[in-house]
Amino acid sequence: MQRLSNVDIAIVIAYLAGMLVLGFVLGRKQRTDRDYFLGGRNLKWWMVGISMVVSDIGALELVGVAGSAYVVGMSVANFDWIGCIPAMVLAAFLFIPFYWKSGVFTVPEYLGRRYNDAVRTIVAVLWGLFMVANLGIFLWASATVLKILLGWPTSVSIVVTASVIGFYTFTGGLKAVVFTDTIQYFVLLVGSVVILVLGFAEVGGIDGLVAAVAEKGGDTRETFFDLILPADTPHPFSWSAVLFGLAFVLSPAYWIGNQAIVQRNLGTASERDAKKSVLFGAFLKLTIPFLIVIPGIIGFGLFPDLDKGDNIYPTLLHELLPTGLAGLVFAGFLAALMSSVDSYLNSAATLWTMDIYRRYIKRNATPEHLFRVGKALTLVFIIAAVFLSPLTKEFEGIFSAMQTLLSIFQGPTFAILLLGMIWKKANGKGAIAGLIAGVATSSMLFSIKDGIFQAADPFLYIAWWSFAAGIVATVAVSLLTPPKPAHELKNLTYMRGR
Amino acid sequence: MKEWIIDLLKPIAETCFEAAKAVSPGVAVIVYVLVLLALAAWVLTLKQEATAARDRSGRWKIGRDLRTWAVAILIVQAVIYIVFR
Repeated sequence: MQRLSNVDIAIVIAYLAGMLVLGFVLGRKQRTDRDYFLGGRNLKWWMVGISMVVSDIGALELVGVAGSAYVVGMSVANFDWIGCIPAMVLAAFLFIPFYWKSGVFTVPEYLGRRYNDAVRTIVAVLWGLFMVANLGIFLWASATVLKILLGWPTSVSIVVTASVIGFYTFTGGLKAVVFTDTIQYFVLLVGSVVILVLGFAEVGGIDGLVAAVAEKGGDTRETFFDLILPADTPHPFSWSAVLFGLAFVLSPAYWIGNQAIVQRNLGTASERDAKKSVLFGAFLKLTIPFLIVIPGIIGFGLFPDLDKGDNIYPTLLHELLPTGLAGLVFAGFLAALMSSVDSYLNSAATLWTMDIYRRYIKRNATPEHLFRVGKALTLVFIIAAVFLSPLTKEFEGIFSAMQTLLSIFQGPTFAILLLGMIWKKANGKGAIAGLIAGVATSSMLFSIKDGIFQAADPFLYIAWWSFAAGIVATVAVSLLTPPKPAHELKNLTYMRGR
Repeated sequence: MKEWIIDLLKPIAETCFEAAKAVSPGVAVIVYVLVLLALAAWVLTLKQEATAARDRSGRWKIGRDLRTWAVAILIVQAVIYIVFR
């Protein structure tokens, strides 16, 4: 593949330098944990909405979703539509207001107040470990793409991206993350629109695309333009898996329970701004499939013989864009990568500082002390990620297991969050039982998935059943044990009555 | 043990699979749209003080109520599913 020109590379370097300067400028006046972890609680709602969406997209998702669309077609758009919109509306009115009103820094901190410290610690450790491990995976996978596009050695790509992201996240905290995400969104938007327009022009518009897919795809692309696939489809995205596993469980678990997403809502100036930010994010989500999924589909019409679907986004970038524009769009791609890493980096530091360090090591730490601890942990985690990243290649199974771990604990975590919010009788013992039952159910189903599921990769169904097990166990144990006193639940639950 | 669990769960899994298979994509679209509309209906039941701006001055009062935006987003989403199904 032809690499970027010197002009393109100069644009990319200028972009990276701009991010460094922004992080430095935003970090100069920060002094406390509230400044560093919650952006001083004065972040603009529209920036937070953009930041949520661009962090969700990420470079890997950009490549992966376009790649899945290249193989499977339009049904991948479900991940951004029914797999996001309902959960975000639910988050805006049911969960985010209570997180914001309770003044917490983290989702586990909310769970600690709603249930008990054991629940808080279990969830914080699970998420904290997952986030740090994922930083290494993000860096390695992105370096692989940078190697193709820029020709840089993998080690150089890892060190350069980690240095830039580490610097502005270290110096500017959540405020730098949200500001850089906002700029990154607009760069990404321009790039994606240009690819979409040029791609459509090249393939001959909608009619040309349909004809090209029919001619080049034949029987293998029969359902390529179908958004809803039947339950017996060979792909993992059947209507039932998408509705039950994605829309009802994994998506709300992500938008409501993922610290990297929720943290920026807590940094808005008011409860109303927190709600507005999520709704604005939902509005933006309506447009994302047109910017990522459709280009993947166009890519099949133009380049049907790629070895791997994941190569389609870099291929479109190279083959369609002229010099200069390619540099800008590549900067957008880099932007998507950075937005995922900076969010996980900042949130990992927040979790370990607020839920572990402040809780178990120094209970009476001052805000200034926690600010310094947070910065130190940011530095430690990005350095650890640089050294961990090559392990992605050496021990791929371990990191795949990490990904599996996420799908194992997300269902039960959402079960206890949901019950904690809408049912006052849910208590700490019930929540622990729910976590154990849910994790045990998903672990068991993963081990026997080939024996009982028809779908090739039934992770969406497993998420649904682990959620259901979490609900049943939490309800059963909570009914058998005393509830938390009503006065301790003020501002923590949606239901006012029983 | 593993085989025993598979034997136990397989009939349940097959029943669920057959039930899902009996629903055609055309009917599934209706289910998706109903889920979105049910959520929109719930949003409309929320109390106005929880969703509207305290300062109600200005020309377009309905636009200051977040329920309007949430319902609009859900309806656009429902229309997308009807069009793209």
